[in-house]
Amino acid sequence: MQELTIDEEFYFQWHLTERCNRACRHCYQDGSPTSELGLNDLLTIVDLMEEAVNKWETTGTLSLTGGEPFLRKDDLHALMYRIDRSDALAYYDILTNGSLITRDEALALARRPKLRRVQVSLEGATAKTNDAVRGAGSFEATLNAIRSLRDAGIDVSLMSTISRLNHQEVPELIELAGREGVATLALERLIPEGTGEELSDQVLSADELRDLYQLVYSLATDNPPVRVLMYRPLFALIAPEDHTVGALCSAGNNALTIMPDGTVYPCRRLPIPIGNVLTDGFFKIWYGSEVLWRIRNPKNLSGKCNNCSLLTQCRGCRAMAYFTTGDYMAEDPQCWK
Amino acid sequence: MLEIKPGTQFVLEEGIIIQAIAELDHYYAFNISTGDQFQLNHTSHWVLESIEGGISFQELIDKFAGGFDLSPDKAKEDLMEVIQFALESGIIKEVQK
Repeated sequence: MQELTIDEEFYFQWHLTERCNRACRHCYQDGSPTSELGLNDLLTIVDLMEEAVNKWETTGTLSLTGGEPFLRKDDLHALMYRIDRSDALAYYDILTNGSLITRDEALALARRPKLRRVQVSLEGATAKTNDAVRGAGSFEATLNAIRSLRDAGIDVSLMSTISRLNHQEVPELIELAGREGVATLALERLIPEGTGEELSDQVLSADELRDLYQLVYSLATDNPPVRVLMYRPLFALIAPEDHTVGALCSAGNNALTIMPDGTVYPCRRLPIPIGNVLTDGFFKIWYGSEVLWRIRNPKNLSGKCNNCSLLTQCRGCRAMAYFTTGDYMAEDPQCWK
Repeated sequence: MLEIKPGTQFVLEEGIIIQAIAELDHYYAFNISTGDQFQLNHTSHWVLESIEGGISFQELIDKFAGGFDLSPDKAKEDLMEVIQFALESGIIKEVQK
């Protein structure tokens, strides 16, 4: 017997609210209201995060998000103030639609020592493509937010949810991100869940995704204007020998998602409740959840994922499997291997 | 060396859970209250699983010797090692009758 240590970072994706001032067509929320914890409970959760990462001898990182997190601006700033003083939590990102980020807000954010990046989203390189998903005026509003943040000296990351609605614009989106001085660009797959379930027919086929990932890899490895993040399942199929590409899903491995009422999910895109952080604590959830233990065992994967030669680099997206088949251990339906 | 009477019974300490991914030969004990975690081998996991089910020390020796094809003396010696560590680590405790 020996003591265990988890020697990598542990990531918390923390949704402070599900309220939002946008109504994006692809959103993973289903529109039903969720109760929100008060600030004292939020601060207790920070204590629990610190206790957990200290015990695991690792470093905590966070994304603070929503809904739209700036709809709880005062609580958001109180949390940042607390986390800025944590010895156990290394840094945090804010994931926002950017609509409430004024120049003054950007300047206030710039004073946060542990704020690593602010992530905003664009669904295309043109207002027409973006606004068809995120609503009229959102393209310009997002660009204004990016510029305010950049002017304040804050690193900005850009995220785009890829579907048939926008995959043709990815090269232009990479160029746009470069022109706007964005630090990183992440491309996420559309998962047909929540409101986004109505866009099921816009999910890329396996062949379409392969073609897109091949194109993205070629652009991202040829002096790109922005760093394109390819640490995602299935990217490993493009270049198995390139270890900067592809990644195991962090669900069950080194991440948890916390919802506004304290409910914990393996991942925001895999919304299976595995406990409540305030009533159960992280240890009971992390050590005891049957869902997490099922995910951790690659022998539980079915279909082509089960005997895949790339199991150490990719186990597919469990959320995509879940919302396509009902079984989160089924094969990733967008895998082309 | 630890002295254990044949009729002694152990239970898992409060908050202890044991987990396994047997196909990968991964075995663990966790304390969900303190967060302590222990990596186990197959034998120690088997012992803790037996203790969780409720068993006296003598019954454990008999079951262990039979299951792993050991002499009673060798079974007792190996079990004592596992139990001593589990007691010292707060994974199990002796039941007071």
